[in-house]
Amino acid sequence: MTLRNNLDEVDLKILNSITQNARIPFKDVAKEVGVSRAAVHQRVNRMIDLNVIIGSGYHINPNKVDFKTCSYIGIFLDKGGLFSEVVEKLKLIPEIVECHYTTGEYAIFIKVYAKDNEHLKKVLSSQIQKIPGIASTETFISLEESFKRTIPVNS
Amino acid sequence: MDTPDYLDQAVNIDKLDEKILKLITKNARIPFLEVARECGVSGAAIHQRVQRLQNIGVVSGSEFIVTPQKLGYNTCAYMGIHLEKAKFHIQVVEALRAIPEVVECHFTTGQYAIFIKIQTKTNKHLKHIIDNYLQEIEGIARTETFMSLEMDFKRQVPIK
Repeated sequence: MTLRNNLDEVDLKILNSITQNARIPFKDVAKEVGVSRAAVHQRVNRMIDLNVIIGSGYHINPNKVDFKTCSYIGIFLDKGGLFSEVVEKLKLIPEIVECHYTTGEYAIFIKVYAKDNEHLKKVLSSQIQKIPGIASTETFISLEESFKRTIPVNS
Repeated sequence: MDTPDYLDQAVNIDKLDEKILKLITKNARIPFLEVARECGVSGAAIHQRVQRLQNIGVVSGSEFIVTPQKLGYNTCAYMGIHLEKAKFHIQVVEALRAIPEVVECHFTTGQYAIFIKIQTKTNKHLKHIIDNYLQEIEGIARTETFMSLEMDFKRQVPIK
């Protein structure tokens, strides 16, 4: 929580607006927040230096670029110690867009986008399950992404 | 002919679109002139292309990416939700949408009916959300929580 104290209300207001739209002119942000444009620039740069902001990007709708099958996969390992090796291997598979080390039933939990179910099967059987150290996997296919958004900044 | 939305087709995007997407998904504030130089076309062409990508829904928005921990969000969890009856799905999703800490929500096959991602400040905060918000939602039978101890990576879908 300490790091949060480096940010004041103005920072949070700026974040609130630029996390919704990365291309908003800083002039508009300045007006919204009630500070000068230079101040917005300065504060954004400071938050980049502080690693509060780690980048920016456009959201792609995976459906439209032909990635129609979204799934979550829980991974069981042979041994807990194999974790970092397995993660390195998973990183090489571009269809895996997210990877977490979790408590509960699974050791690793990943999110995978594939073109269709057949592609998912290929990624699973010829890539993921070939990784030494992975004992078994459990797949949850997402039939619909009901919503997706960023964390609430102002609270 | 109108196609129903469940038959959502992949749209036509050419090599130039892909190149543009690659650049702007990495850095949303990149000057379009720089994109233009890199792609060897005019700045106006980039504007037009990005506009088109937005219009046809390939690009759905842009954001600055924040480190949740730096904002005090130290707990990330995935949660599988079991419903009392499958037909409660829609109303439960609406109720979940009203909880800002729930950042992602999917309708999944397998063990759970709904699968969500939730980001909170502390474990206690997570417990508070579960007790006071999630369990209060009518139609939710029970939940199963997987805490993420570490996010190893997160990225966008690969553009060829």
